[in-house]
Amino acid sequence: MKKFLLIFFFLLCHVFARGAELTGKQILEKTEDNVYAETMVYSGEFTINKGDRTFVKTFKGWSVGDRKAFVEFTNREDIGVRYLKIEDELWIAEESDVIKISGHLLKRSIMGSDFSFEDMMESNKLSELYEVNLAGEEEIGGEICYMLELESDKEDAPYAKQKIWVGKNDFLPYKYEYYALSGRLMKSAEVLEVRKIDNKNYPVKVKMIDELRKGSSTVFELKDLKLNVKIPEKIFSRQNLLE
Amino acid sequence: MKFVFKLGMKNLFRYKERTFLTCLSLGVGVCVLIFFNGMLEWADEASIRNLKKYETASMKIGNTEFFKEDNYIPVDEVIEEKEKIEKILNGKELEYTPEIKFKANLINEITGDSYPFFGMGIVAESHKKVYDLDEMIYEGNLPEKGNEIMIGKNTVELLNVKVGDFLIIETDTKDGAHNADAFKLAALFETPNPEVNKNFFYISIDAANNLLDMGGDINLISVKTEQNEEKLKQELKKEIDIEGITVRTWQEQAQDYIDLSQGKKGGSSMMLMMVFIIITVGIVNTMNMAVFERTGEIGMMRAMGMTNREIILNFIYESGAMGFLGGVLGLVLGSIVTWYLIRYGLDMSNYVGDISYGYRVSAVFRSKWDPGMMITALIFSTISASVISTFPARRALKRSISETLKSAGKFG
Amino acid sequence: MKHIVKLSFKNIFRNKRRTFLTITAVFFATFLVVIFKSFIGGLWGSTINNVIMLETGHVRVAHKKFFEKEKTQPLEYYVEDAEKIISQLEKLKGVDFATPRIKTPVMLNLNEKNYYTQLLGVDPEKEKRFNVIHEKIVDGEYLSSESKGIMVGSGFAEKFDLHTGQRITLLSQTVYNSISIESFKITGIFTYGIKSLDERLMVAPIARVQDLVKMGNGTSEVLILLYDREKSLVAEDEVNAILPQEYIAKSWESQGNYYNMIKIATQIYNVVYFFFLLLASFVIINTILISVYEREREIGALTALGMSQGEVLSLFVTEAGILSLIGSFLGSLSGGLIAWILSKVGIDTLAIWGESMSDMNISNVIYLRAEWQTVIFSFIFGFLVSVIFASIPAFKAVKVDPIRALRAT
Repeated sequence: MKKFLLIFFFLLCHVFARGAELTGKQILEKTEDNVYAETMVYSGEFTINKGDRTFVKTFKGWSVGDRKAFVEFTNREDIGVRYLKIEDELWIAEESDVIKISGHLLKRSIMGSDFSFEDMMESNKLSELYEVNLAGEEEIGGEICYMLELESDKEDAPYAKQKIWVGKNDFLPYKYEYYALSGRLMKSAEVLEVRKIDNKNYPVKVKMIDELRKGSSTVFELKDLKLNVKIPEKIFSRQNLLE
Repeated sequence: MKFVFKLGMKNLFRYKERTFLTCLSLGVGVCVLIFFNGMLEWADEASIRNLKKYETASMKIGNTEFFKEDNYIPVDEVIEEKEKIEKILNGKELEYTPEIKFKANLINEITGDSYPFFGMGIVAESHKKVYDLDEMIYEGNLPEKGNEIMIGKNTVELLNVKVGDFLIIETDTKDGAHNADAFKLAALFETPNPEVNKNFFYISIDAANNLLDMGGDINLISVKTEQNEEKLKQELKKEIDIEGITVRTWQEQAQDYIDLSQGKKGGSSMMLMMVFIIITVGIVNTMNMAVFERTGEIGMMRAMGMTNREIILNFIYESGAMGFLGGVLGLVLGSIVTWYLIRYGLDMSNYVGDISYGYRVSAVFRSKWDPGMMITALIFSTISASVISTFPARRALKRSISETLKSAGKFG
Repeated sequence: MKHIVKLSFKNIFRNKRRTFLTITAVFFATFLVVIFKSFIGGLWGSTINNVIMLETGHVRVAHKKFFEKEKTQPLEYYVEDAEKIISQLEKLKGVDFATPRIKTPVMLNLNEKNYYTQLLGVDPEKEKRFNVIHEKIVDGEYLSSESKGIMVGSGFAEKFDLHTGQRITLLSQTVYNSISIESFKITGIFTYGIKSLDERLMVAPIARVQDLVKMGNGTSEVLILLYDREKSLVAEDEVNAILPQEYIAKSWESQGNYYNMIKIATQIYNVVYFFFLLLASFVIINTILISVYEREREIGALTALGMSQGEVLSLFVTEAGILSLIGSFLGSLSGGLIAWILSKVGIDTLAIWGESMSDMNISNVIYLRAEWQTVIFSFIFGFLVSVIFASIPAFKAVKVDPIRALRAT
């Protein structure tokens, strides 16, 4: 009898233990919540590597969730260039000249980097666009990570398939892989640095690699990041764009 | 008048050799004119031919929205009811080929170089019937299956690849998702059309279908026809009768970068003018010779009581007849030459010199039927022969009868 | 021999009509041969001129990688310190002048939509020296180096309803692989006559384009114009010798596929020229033939009088030779003269025939190409054809039985 109860109890724990495991979708949602910020104010740096040439661009930025964003470039070569995004509209300005970018032009790369306007504009949560599966666990940079596989058949998804490695302990993203419809790896991104801000760990340095073009990569780094501070509404105005 | 006419005709047969020579010279002149004109017409159409043979076909059928965009190709604007359209084309017994046109980057993985191109997903078998691109392939064959790609000679040099190497095609699917896949370089082409050479690559329509996730849809149907394109376009428009489908003739497609005003002839008018002049010189000489020789005769005719007017008429009839006969001869000869050129062409590759890069068909010169010019040449030959002969005839009439009779027995 | 020549001259003056006709035939044939060839040369020349004017100059200098990747118009590979290089180049013997050019695709934002077009940055003063665009202004005015304005093709202006005085905003790439936006005022509209330019080109002073693409004082290309276009290959070597190693110079012949396509068109015209020669020959032959047949009786009389067949033949050939010498000489020389005049003045095909050449990217005025070689060739051609074809029938004629010949009417 005792033996039977022990086995039964053991089995029960196992069942509960299973039940307590998170689904892929839950993991993703938790991660997305983790990196979500009501508002962000930051300054940072883009380093673009194109095989034989390297470009470094510095910027300051303000954003409200993923609905509004204002970015201003501060490096010598691009000083005066500003971007304003409000919902799904995008404007670019330099000094007092403005152009609105729409349609297929959003697929173009930002400043020659490996990020496109579309990548930055993405408002939809990944969990809404993709079907998420927990495919296993892998160690990335010393951390055990959940490996999530995202597949989509929805029209809005720019990549047919993505893989995201999320830290088991901190539910922060460590690595991304973006796949073409054909199954070929097109881009990959690695979180290189995480910083504690307001008692929370936040990814601040990401490297995006173009897997199709040898030697092409971009490193995106936030040097100064404040989360959830109040941002005056006038920042996200055309006036601000035109200065 | 009838008498004079009969006299004229009799005279023609009297001097068989002279008649023959004169007719021959006129004939050759007319023949050369027709030949020239035909070849120049053919040559001047070269750029148009290159368009139709490799780029625009006779016409293209597609979604109205698809044709609208300038720089950007909206792959998702597909042809609705393509079965209906294909049925109509079959019914008219037209050669056609379905296509998927899209914009993509070609990437050489090894060097990291990437450049933008227009991609064409094609059906090899029907493509051959509508275009002549397959004749311009110098290595390999039109892509038919699997992930095979064909590029132009310029592109080979640009990307630094050779047959057997792999290129990555990077593009967006119909729904806007990113896609990239490796293709094996299977064929190389070079056409006389540099735009095609520089900007296009070709893959099978199945591969394009997969690459762009078209789900069986296509965005173009290219049609070949020998008929008048505008007329066919109107017919097709009426029969197809689907809102949102447009038929574009090659002229409309070419409008974008070629200024097609009525009858482009380049410098050929100038050249034809020179040909006309030299033929006229020939006629003048011939007529002069022909008439002056018979100064003695003229004297005799006058002595016999013919009026000046009758004499001149006589010569007009004679020369006119010779002009006409010569013209007909020239027409016949010219037609034979034109037919031969159109059918077999004149292979000048040995004489044309180093055009390099192995251009093939372009060293063969052909011709074109131009009935307008043929009629013109015949009329010209007849009229100019008659008119020109009046001058020496008049000159001869000015001399006194005794003088002319004197020359009857002499060499002159 | 001498008496044959004397007799020839006598015969020539004796029958003025025949002499006149023969000389005329040869004259016109050789005259037209020169004009024809010069015209073809002019057509070819016009095309080359356009390629030179619009794209390559006689020799073009740019960064090696710029040439390699030219298809993508890479701004980041440019020639630094343009003025310095230009002054060095202009010191070379044979170089008339050098001028900078920057070409970049730009985007025009109109009515919520974006349109692509090409922007060309030039030195307005130097462009005038080899580009005719300043003569093609239909509204507003040509650029000046200080101007802040931009010139737009008439096709483009029409399509988007633009006019002089209007401001447009352009978005461009920069050498740093980033974006730049600037506004320009349209100060002039041009109609070049070449569709692809009128519909897609904008021209601005190079200083403004340098600012727009952030090229500092650099330039994408330097076009070199020589005193003598034929010396471009030599010049190419000379320029390469003084250039820093990351840049390279290329003569206009070694660039572009356009060149090959036009070369083929020209070959076609050369074939046509060949057949024209045939036709001209025929006219000459015809005239001579008739002349010989006419004189069959004369031949009969001469042989009856005791001249040998060889002597009669020589007589005819000499006569033909003298006449064709005169005819060829006058014809080819006049042809050369007219060709030379037309090479300066030009033939406006649009005005004469109402035909436009703009689809072949040629302007409507064709300047004939007068060359000594053509004149000399035509002279020799006319002479040889006449002599040869006078000989053949003469040869046949002298074999004819003198009695028969005498009897012929």
